Amino acid sequence: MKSFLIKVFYFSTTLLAICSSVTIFLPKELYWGNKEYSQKLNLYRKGTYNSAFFGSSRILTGIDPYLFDSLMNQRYNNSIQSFNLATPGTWANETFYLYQHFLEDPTLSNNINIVFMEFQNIMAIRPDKLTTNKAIYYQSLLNTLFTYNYSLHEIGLSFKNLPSSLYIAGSYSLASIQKLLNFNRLNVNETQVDSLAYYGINSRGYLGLHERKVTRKEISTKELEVYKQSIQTHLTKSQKSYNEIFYKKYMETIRQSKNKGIRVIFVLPPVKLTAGMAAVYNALPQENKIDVCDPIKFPELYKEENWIDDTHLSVGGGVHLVKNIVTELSLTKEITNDY
Amino acid sequence: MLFNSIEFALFLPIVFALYWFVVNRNLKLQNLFMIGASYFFYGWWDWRFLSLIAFSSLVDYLVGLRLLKTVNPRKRKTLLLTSILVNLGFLGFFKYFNFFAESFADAFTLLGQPIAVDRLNIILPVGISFYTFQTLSYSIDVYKRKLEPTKDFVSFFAFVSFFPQLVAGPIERATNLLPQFYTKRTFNYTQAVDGMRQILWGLFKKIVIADNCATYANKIFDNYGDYSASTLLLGAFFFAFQIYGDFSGYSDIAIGTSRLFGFNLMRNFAFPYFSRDIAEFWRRWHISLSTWFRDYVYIPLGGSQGGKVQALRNTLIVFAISGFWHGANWTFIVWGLLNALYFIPLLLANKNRVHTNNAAEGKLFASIKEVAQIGITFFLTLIAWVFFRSENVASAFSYLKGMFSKSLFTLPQVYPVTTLLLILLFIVTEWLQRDKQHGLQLEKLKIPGVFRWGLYYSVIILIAVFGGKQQEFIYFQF
Repeated sequence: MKSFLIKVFYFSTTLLAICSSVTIFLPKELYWGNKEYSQKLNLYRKGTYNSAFFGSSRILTGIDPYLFDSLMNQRYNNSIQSFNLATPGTWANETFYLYQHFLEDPTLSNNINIVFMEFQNIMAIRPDKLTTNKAIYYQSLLNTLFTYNYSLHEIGLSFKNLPSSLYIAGSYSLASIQKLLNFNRLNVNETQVDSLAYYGINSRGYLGLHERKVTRKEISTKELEVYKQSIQTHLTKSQKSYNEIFYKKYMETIRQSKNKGIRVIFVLPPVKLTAGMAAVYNALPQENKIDVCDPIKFPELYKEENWIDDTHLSVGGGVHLVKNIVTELSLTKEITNDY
Repeated sequence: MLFNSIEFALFLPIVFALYWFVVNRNLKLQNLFMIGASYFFYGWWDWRFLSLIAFSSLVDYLVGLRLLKTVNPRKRKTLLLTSILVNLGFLGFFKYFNFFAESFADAFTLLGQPIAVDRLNIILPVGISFYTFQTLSYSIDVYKRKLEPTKDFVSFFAFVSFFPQLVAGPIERATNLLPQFYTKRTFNYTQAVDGMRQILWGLFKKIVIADNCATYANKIFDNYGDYSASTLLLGAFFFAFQIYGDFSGYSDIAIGTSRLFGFNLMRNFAFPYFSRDIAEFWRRWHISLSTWFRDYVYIPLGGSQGGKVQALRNTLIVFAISGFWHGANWTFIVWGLLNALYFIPLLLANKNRVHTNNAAEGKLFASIKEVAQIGITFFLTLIAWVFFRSENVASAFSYLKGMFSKSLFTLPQVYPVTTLLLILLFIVTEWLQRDKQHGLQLEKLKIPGVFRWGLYYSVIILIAVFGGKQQEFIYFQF
């Protein structure tokens, strides 16, 4: 048994070492992101913007920058030019990765004053997506270590988190190994998606959903009630303990943005909020977050007609979301002073 | 839980570590742990159906115990019938209820008396056809006094639910697997290493061959009206490799995984596409099912003892049931009967056991005659696969009609070079290894360690780089 385990260990480490070494000698990938996102950035580069949105499809399909700019300009008489840089099917790790590169590239971030980033959770990569380019392109040793650390802290908070934490750590490990075994190249077999429809239908990167996406089911009153309940229960409670690794990641993002002269504001859209997510959200500085999902303040967000499926707001729902952001911004003095 | 999933990638090392380092002190603990792991494995898909496995195990365990004490032949038969009725009752309800109801209604419609039947919204429990046949083999063997019934409740439950082969086989005989639960397993290095190789080869078959072929087979079969004859032929070719890679890949992973835990399962595939006639194909394809039908249906029906007519009748019955076992659809029955039609001439001419060795045994290349025989056999199976894959019999005939039209000698509209090259690599490897148990069995070949590892690395990288989109194993639906 001992010799078997030693051989398995040597075999695995040698394999990963070989792949890593080969990768070093191969020419670098031309672009740090994936193909579809590069097209979105090309669109972004054509204009001059001082504000950007990051996050998942909730933001991609919920925030129309034209509407946001016009409402902001009406209200504060300022010249806001924003762009929606959100991507579909994204969890926090991918958003952090994209934003990190955005900050590092002066051609992208130099004119930006304010960034709105969806406050997201860390979730496991779906098994059927594990081998796709979308799941592996942002993987790195640092990201894997961050995920391990996050998972360990989750288990430390409650032993109940063990299965989900193992699942998260496992999925990111496999995605990283997959990337390494691919020599950091993307899967040659994968067919490319329709990037324009996928990453934004209008010239500001927004994808308004006028009809239900066939891949998801319609939202029900019961589910909306769950959304409301989870938000009311967790956001109002003051939790003493939270995942510090997750919190530090958000704080690090705030610090890095500040160094670049950017104020980052985490937006909490209507989601099924977990206690863990809420605890971290509550711990963030007031000037770096806005809650636009309060069911009492914004009851219209919880009407079925404002949802296109169980996750995404309809175009009408998106209008409410944008209005709520503008309203909440007015209450955050420091932010409005920036404008 | 799928073998090619993240859940299994986490599950296997955890179970392996606990099995060999925590519960290895005594046999009972090992078996109890195996039941827990197996129920967890199955419950991951749907825990509600665990009760079915447990109930089925309990019934057969009790039937076995009663058979031990019962001498009266009538009572023994009643006990066996109880086991058969319970097991086939579950199978019939979950798998065939809607089929029978609809066929019944169709028959009345044909007679001019249309009746309406309500379909039940039934979920088919994964692997029910596999574990049902496995437990049935126990009851039948005990009834026939071929096997001593077990009094060990834990071993029996572990045998029925053994996770590597629970959902898609190989369908183990109690005579082979059950006794392995009676003795404490000790770690065997050679067995474990070869098990790992077999798992790797199974993953290659599933992820690289089957999943890539599935993309094109699905595309062509789903829109067969839009494609030329040559493309339809290619579609059938892709499906032939999809189903082979998928199912034999699953079997390899199951057998390899079992070996990691000190168990030996029966072989399920023996390079069937190198068969020189259909009889040989059926000795090499899904061996555990074919031999099950031979031992528990064909032989009890009299086999070929009563002359040609009886042999012919029994062959037709076995192939039809074998087709029906695969699913509640006429396409599977036609597939089975078509194979019977291929088989019967060989049976009548007493040529069904001509090819009992490997093709080109002891040689690198096959003779022209053998190449022709292999080609013809493969082509016959290809036609049969069209029925297996099609939505209904009418679609299968339309597909075949399209396949044999004028455009057969034109270039296919779909021509995925990478996938075809991967299939070629796969065929060459299997050909070179056709006298072994699996494509990566290397211990008898004197290859230096560094090359062996290089070979494993290449297979892993091929899986990572050329892996197709994850698909569920086809045989899960059976």
